[in-house]
Amino acid sequence: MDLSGRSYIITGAASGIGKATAIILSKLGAKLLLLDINKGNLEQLHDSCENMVDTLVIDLTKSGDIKSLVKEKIAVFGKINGFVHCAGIPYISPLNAVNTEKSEMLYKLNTYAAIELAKVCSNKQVYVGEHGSFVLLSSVYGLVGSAANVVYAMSKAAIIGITRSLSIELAPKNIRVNCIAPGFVKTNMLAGNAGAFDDSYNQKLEALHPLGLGDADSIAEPIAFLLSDASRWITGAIINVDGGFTAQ
Amino acid sequence: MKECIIITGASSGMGREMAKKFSSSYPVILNGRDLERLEETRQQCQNPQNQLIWQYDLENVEDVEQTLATFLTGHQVRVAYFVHCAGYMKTYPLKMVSASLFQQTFNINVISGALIIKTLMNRKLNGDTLKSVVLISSNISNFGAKAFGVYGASKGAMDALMRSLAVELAPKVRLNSVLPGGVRTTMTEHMYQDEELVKRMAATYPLGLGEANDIYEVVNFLLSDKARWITGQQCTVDGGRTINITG
Repeated sequence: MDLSGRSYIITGAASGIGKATAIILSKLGAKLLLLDINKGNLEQLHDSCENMVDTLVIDLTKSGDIKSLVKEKIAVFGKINGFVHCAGIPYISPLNAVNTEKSEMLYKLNTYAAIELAKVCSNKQVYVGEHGSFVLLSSVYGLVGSAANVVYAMSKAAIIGITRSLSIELAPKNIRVNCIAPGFVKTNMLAGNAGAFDDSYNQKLEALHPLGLGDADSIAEPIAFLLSDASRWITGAIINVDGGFTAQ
Repeated sequence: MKECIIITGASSGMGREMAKKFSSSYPVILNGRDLERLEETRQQCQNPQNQLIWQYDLENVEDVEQTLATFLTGHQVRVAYFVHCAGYMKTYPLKMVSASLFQQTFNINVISGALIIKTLMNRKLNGDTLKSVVLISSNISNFGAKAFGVYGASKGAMDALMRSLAVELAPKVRLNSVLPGGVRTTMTEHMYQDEELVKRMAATYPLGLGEANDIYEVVNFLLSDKARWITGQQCTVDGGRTINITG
């Protein structure tokens, strides 16, 4: 796989899967525009990437700002081949405690931001015009049922619909749109969640994944594959990268 | 001992293309029925002298285990990867379907693949060398089409087999299937003789028609460590064909 000459936006690039993706894509020769709300971590990452990198501090829940801020930045950074939407937050809450504001925030960040990003990244002033590839991050929770997770499940299941719909709409522009649905990955997002659980829950979590829990790199590699020409005939696909979670 | 890749259906079509490509990374065991055409494939591989021919008709499922065991022992080789490319496709409407058509299709597409994996899991024969398996299914596996009952059923069975074995053999071995859309190969050549049909087909593929190399790239990825956390999955590679309802 070789991504030299290609350039991509990565959201949520300051930590977890986004960060791992940035490092791997950079090693493959891609030029990257890294987006995150966390300025400090973003600058740290800037230094650990091998290739040309620029950063943009952005709050993706401010849906109305995404297009203009990205466009403005691209005018300086240069046109891109696509984006990876890794930014996302979890929300574990029983139904009766689900909060409207928090739910709207999840929808805006995890879900709707993907649509705004697709809009701006398929724009003539932003998209190079060839070898286009967008990768969206869903979750096994977008595919299976689990209690106390209704809002997160909503936000991630919607990504699957977005992927399929956009893949058809954007095929004439030579943009492929695919989705990765990860299982439980050892990132800060999970660590924050796992703190709330006891050992027996963590053991159960392991048992849900025949290959064991994943790490951020095990998601970042398939993301790189979907951006590269090795997947040139794949579009609208939902690829579960979950250590076998959804096989059983 | 050399760690090989077995490719079934290597005497023509997608299997031949796979064999040629993989021969630059691994010694390849070429399986097929026709010795002459297998030899042709071998000559088209990198370093033909390193590639082995396992001539065997996979329709004969009774002897597949014993034959493969003898082959592995005889050649002193171990197998790390397996790609089941052999495929039998006859598109008959229901009124022409017979028990023997079912049997032939399932023997080649499903049962032989399962028995090859079983043989490769035998510790005496192959140690714990087997790492990753890709079964070449079809995008028909999850959809319906006229006259595709038997073939579709076999590919659906193949994917069900893949999922169960993925769970059973984890974490040692990863298994996935690739579901191609219409790719021009020897198996599908008759469909490409009809220009009208080709036009109609192409119109339903958002990314246009695919090539054998497009499938190889995905198989290569799934076999590799880059896909180390992917198992038990169907990976559709069809240029968006099966999710396209606008067509």
